[in-house]
Amino acid sequence: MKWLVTAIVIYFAITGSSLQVLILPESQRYDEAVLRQNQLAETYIDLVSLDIEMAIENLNTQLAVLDSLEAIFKSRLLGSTRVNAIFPVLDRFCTNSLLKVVTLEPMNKFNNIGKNYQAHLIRLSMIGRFQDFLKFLDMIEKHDEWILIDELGIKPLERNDYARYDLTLSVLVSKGGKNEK
Amino acid sequence: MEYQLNFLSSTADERVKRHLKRFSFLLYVIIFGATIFILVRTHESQAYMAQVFEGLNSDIEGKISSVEPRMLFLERKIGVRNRLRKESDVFLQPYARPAIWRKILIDITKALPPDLVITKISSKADTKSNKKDTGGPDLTIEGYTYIEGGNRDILSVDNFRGNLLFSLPLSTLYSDIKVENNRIYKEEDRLKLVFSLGLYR
Repeated sequence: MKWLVTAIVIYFAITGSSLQVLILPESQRYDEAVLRQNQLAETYIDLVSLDIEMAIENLNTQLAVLDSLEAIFKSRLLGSTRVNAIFPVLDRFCTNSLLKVVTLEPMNKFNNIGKNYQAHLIRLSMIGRFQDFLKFLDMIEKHDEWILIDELGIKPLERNDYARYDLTLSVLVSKGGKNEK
Repeated sequence: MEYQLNFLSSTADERVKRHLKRFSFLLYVIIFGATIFILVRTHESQAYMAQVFEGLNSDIEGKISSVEPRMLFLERKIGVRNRLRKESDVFLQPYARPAIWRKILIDITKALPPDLVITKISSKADTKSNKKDTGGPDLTIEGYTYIEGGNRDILSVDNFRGNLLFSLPLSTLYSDIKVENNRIYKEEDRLKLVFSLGLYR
């Protein structure tokens, strides 16, 4: 009986210590390797499914479009450093579109557009027919330099189809003072 | 005789006991041996499996590190694209372009029901550049109509608003169109409905 108990104790002692020394460290190593493999496989599948070359190509296309927008924007900045240079142009457009100018004057203030550009404001009031005003809008849109509408007010007059148009226009200049064309 | 029998019995017992001891010992050895064998084999198989997975991991790591430079390049490109996208409103000037205003005005006249009269259209400057934002609508359309034909006339402002919601530049640039003012006055013998529509970005 004594021997049996001793044998059982020794057996369990040896089995337990063998588990601790031999099995558990390897088991942990195995578990860590499996976990790492799962993470790496996930990352790799993401990378493979992304198709980096295709993504770079798409980005290049998008960048080309955005670059062209930027180039067009810069090319339409006011060429002259003097904002007054746009006044004869506006007057000509009014005349050509049969609108009568009531006021055309600089407002002597500007708004910052982004970090690098400024919008100089011009007050323009006109009287004329609505169709002619639409023609005027078409002309200033097609002008080489930006002529933008900051504020707009339209009040119909008693005379049929005639209205008064009060506009705050803005022309854009580079903050450095030079057009980056 | 008794002595002899006792002697024989004790000798036989000793022999059986010895056999039993040997058998027990053999049994212990077999059990110990089997347990150690199982433990060692389990250890070996686990070590092998861990080694296999580690090999696979280093293989995948190698593949990932081979595409890492391209990934960094891609991330840089995405950064540039995002910066330019943020500036695209500056480049396009969607709220200030005369062509957009022209289209908006044409759409307003097309959407206007025949019984409504517009007395004023006014906009305020872009809130991004306007430091003194006083609140209120970004574009206001004021007008009136005379109520003559019954209840349908009262709905004409809502019809006008509904038509404006279908205008592409308006609904894109102004997310909300509200009836700001909708009052009825008596003018001579007729009822005059004065309205004001507020368009908000």
